[in-house]
Amino acid sequence: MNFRAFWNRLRGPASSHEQDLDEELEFHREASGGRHLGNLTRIREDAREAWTFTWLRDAFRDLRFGLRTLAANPAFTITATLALVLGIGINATVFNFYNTVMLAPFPVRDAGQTVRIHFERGGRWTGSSWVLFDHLRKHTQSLEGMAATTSRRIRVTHRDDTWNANGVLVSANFFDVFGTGFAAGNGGFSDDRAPRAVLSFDTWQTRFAGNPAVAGEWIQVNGRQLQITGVAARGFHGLTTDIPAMWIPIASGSAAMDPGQSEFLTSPDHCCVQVAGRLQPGTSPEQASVELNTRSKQFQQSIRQDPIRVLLTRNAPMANPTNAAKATPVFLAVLTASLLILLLACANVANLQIARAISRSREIATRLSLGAGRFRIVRQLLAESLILGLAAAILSIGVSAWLPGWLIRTVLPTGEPLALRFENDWRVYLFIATLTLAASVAFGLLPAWTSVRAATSSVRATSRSRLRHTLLGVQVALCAILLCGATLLTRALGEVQNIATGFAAQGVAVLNPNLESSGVSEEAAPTVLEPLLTRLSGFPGVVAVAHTTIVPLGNASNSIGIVNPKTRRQIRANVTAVSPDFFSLLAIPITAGGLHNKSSVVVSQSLASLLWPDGENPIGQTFPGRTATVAGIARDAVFRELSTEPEPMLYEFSSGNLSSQILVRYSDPAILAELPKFARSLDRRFLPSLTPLPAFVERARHNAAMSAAVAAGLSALALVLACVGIYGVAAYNVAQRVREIGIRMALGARTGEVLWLVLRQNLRTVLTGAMFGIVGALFAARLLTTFLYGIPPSDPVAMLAASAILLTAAIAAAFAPARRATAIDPAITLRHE
Amino acid sequence: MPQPDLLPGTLDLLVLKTISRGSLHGYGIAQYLLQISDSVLQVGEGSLYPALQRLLVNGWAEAEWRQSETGRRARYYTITTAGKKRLAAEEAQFEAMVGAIHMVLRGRTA
Repeated sequence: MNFRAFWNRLRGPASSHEQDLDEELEFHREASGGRHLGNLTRIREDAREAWTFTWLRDAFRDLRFGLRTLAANPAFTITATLALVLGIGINATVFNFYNTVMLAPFPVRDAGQTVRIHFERGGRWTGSSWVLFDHLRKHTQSLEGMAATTSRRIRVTHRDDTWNANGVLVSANFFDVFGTGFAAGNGGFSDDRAPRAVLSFDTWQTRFAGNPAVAGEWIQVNGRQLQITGVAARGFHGLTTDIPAMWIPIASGSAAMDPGQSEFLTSPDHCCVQVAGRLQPGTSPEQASVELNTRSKQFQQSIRQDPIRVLLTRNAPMANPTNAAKATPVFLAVLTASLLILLLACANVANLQIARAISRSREIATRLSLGAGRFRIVRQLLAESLILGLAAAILSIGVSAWLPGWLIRTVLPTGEPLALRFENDWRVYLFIATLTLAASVAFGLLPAWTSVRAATSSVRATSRSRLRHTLLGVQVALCAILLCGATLLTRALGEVQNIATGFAAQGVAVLNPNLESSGVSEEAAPTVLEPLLTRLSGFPGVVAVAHTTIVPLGNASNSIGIVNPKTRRQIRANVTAVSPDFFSLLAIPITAGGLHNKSSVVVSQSLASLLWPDGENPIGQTFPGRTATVAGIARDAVFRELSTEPEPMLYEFSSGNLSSQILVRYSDPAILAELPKFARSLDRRFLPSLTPLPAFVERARHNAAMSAAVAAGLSALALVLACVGIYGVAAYNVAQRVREIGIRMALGARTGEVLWLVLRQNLRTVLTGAMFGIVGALFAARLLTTFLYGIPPSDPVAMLAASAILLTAAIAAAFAPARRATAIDPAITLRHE
Repeated sequence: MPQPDLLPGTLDLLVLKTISRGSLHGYGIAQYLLQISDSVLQVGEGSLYPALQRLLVNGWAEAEWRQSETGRRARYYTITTAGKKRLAAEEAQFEAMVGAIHMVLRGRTA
């Protein structure tokens, strides 16, 4: 078929086609002497046929017919669509999360051409030293541009207003490589040392009232004067997941923000700036990777440093392979669970379809005997499935557009607003389309083929009911797996509330003086903090004051590797620098030894048993790799996250540093509001924020509970779906056996016997399915171990509870149709056919 | 009625050949085929008009309403450049096919 013919057919005949043909035929009739022309309608149809694609027309007919059939069965249509929306919508949501953090590039200019560049350091992929980045940026030929960023907490002062914010230090070419334009002013970053700043759109609106003449104004960032040169375009957040307040050229910013780190721009050991770039048109990431690796090797050699490998990935938030390796298994576990739910939904719809096919077997048999091809009828039935799938897909797009944002906002709040938008992009659409197509065929093809066979063969009844029971059994098994998971997680949820934190949070508040962004040097920090600590402990209503660099459950950690000198194994521990009264203030008991002085350390029980496993007394030993001796052992307490696994902690003593936070135990809650003001009135270099310590504990419990709740919610959905399936199958079993039951009742069967007859048939399937499911759950639950807070994956309580819930639900679902069977009037049923 | 023994696709070729001699209306085409084949090819309307539509769809012919010799309006079909190319190709193919069939019928080995 040539292109013109294709196009003509697509367009269809001209509007005057019928009229032309009629007039033409009339002329023919007259010319041939008024002879009768035979079947005119047939001629017209054949003539029109030339203009259409047969298959396309048939497809339209199938779709129209399918729509009519579905509209005639609203109960089936709505149930099936909802089941599919649950299945596809959840998968789309999970994929949307995955897509946003792992696949979709940051929304910068021409994002498709941008790449993230990682550097290997000690077996981990991280950022680059400034010098290496600078060398690569100047010499690369495969990248059009290459920019570096690094985030800092900053303190901004504009006129009388001072606030803390997120700042991003960038190489001067940042906006040239990634910028999407400016809402006011321009980039104006002439070099990395220029004292400049570009505001984010949000900051411009909230802090500068959208003043169009903001460019040229001066602000103070961490005590250093910077001139605003412009405002980034609305919605531009650069390459970070949080929303930055401003971008600052790296050298000028670093001078203010990393006091005492003057080697930042010159040291090859410095770590790290995050690097991203834009590929030259026509260059593949592989080519660029080869070039950068060669240059990195040469450069490191020229400055006599170890070679550093370079890796190019997508420019997505979690593209870093070291991070991705941690996140991927979690995604896979969630995706597996949601795919199971989709499978359940498909099995459900397939069962409903097969059930309908029984009632339609006469229609199908009639159509077959009238000469319709089998394939044609299968296609017709598949069209119905595709319509259902399409409706479900459209609704699922809505679910995926809304649900991730809602989850982030309400269920898993991270505190800071995220720059990630979780929008549906082409990958999500493609995923939904693929899933819908696969699901439609999965739940459509089997019933369609069965019903065609059923209408023609005589073996149908048994094989069809076997198929239905197999589907039901699979459904119950999947549901059992999910339910076991859910009961385990629900048990864990209770467990989370009971986990002992190991410290007394009640009556303690955390006062963060935010010294890091004050411009105070590391050496001066103790002298700046000292008066504050003294004055606070004298404040009426304050019972005790201590300081620490890491607040328990405060979302920060400082993890170091310690090599056990005897076993040579590396141990990871969390290090915090505290004042001696830290332990008494938080009621963390010292179980052995004491505190001694500044040159000693305290270890947690778990760290002690890791370093001195053979019952050796740690007290007085030199701590591996340090000069300090171990003075005491503290009881375990949670720091990083709520867990039943004790976390190895190393406590060093300090008189305060830039990241010190002040713990205040109080007797009078009314004073809390005054403490920040009081601290600021003492010294303008403090910009304190205050949080009650129980709030950190609550947040940790909330996050853990929410993860469990989401998983439990998924399983509840699965249970609902399985019940719908059981109900459907039971109902059709009854419908199929109406005559048989009628006869039994006429012959004197009692209600109980009939009830049992119907229940038995389904219970056998349910029990078999549940058994397989629980065996599957024993394996699947291992995936959940980290969320179980100490409950064993094979916990018998959870398994029994899950089985009980499932069986109760199954009996309830099968009971209603069974009840109906007992209400059968033999006289009516026997007359029925 | 369509000729049951006509090879598939041949009618389109015959119609195309007919209008390649000059524009003609449907009735004229049928008459011409009848005369030139000594009344063997009686092309019925049921085959002729769908065939003409196929030629239109494929862009091998164009149709136009004109005054006929009897003074009545009639739809005239004219071959297009694409149609001429197609005709040449089909003719060659048909000759080859007929030749081949001929050889088989005469039982001559090639």
